[in-house]
Amino acid sequence: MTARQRYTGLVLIAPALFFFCLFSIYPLIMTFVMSMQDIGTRADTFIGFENYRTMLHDPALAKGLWVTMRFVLVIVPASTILPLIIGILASYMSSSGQFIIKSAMYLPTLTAGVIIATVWRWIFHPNSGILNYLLGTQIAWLGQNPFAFYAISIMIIAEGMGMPVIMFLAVFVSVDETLQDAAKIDGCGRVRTAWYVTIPEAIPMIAFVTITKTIGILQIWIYPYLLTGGGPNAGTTPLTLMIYQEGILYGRYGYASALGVLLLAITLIFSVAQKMVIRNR
Amino acid sequence: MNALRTVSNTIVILISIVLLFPLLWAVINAFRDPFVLSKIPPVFKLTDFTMMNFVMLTKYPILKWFTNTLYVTVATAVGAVVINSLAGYAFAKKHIPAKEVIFWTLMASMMIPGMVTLMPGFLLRKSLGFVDKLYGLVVPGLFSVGTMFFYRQYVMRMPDEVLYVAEIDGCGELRKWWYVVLPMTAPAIATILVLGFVAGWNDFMWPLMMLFSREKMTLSIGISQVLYDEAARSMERLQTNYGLMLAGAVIMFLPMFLVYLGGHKYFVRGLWGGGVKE
Repeated sequence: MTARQRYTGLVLIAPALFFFCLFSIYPLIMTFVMSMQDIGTRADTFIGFENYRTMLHDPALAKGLWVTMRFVLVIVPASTILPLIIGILASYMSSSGQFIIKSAMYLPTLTAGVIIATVWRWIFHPNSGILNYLLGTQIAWLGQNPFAFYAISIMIIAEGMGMPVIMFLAVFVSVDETLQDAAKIDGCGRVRTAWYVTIPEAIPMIAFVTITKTIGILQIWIYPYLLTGGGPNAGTTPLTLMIYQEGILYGRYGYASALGVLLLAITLIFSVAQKMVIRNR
Repeated sequence: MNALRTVSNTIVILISIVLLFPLLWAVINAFRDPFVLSKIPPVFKLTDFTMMNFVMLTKYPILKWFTNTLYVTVATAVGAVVINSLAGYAFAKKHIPAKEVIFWTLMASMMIPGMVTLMPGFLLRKSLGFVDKLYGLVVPGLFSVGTMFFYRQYVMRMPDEVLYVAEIDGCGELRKWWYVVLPMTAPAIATILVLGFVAGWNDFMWPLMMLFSREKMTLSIGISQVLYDEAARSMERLQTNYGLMLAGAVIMFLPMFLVYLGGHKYFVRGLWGGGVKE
């Protein structure tokens, strides 16, 4: 191999590597560095693990983590089970019907968060919103606890169905039909076939969707930001939104970076689990 | 069997309607009189159609927001094709020193959430002079590990012989890439463009951090910062102006919807990554 052949590959990836180092590696390293600094408007001093020590006694952080955890606990099961049911039902449809469903499911996934949030702000409006009309209630959905939390959860569940439905459907249509026929011969009805044959076939995908959803929900901040701004009384402020508020709004760069490290640590646990699930498939 | 199919058809179609209804209802009502929108019970009879909401929008630099968004989106998508396809091709077919190490470092970086590096990323962009600049949104979006990986998977299925032939014909690396690799991977390029368009069009985080002046905003920021504020102000008069916000949302929604209709099959291919055999 000539020297020229040796290095053409490197030259071709050079632009990519340049942008990667500048916009991914450097900020990542600086996150760790800044998390040990006290960066305010003027000061810029090394303070070791002081920011992390502050985190231990920060009631706002405890609340933020609790909100994040509740979002995961409410949204993840619902947005795995509902698509699973829809996927099973849709697998009995004709292929042209499945095509329409897939298209319909995909659309909200691709629509900008701002558009979705605008529409749902209207739906949740206390006086002129359609939700209060349908339920016959007078609730300020986005203005009082605990309704704001559940309103945002409902919205995220409804808008995040598309991808899992499409993935489950892909698994169900490829389930070996001889298995289902065998179950039928053994006297299983449709529901029992689904429970004993179809769903077990989909367990790797269920695990994958669950973990991917969890990672996704750990990152959400746009919908709380746009619907409630994190309120009322920080009741819808997850860890991610806290990073934005601490850093951009209050200018506590060091502390925001330390929170970033915490978010990274939590996310990595689930990411490693996700990689293990993929490998086992 | 047929009864079962009818039942599941009905249920699934009902769910789809429930899921799509908010979007559909919003699009319809953007074209209706704003007073109808805040009526309870809702006026389901489709009356009072008007372009009033869109006329009101012209009080804001909505056209500028639109062209700003278009500029950022197209520039990012096209630039991303060049950078990512060069890198993806090299990772698939060329010798690179420490290839495995570099490749898996890139892949591992995909696990880092964007919010983690918010503060250093913000300070970096500030010191690069990206504040309130549209190109400041384009440059950081040029390289994407996911896109590069998708493209690499596609190129790996390309036979090596084609590249040898081009080499024998005297093509250098860049000409090989331009005349052989890009044309042979046209469907993958289309997928990258379509997915890049949607991602850029819907981007929210960095535009929110970087854009401040009204005439520099993209649609997502203009709607969420200016139009929401306007609605909040009208809320004090107990007359939330949803017509304005919905009209803004429709203007942002329609181009994306057209891309979706035109590029449907490319989305599906993008979803399944390079794993799909064609």
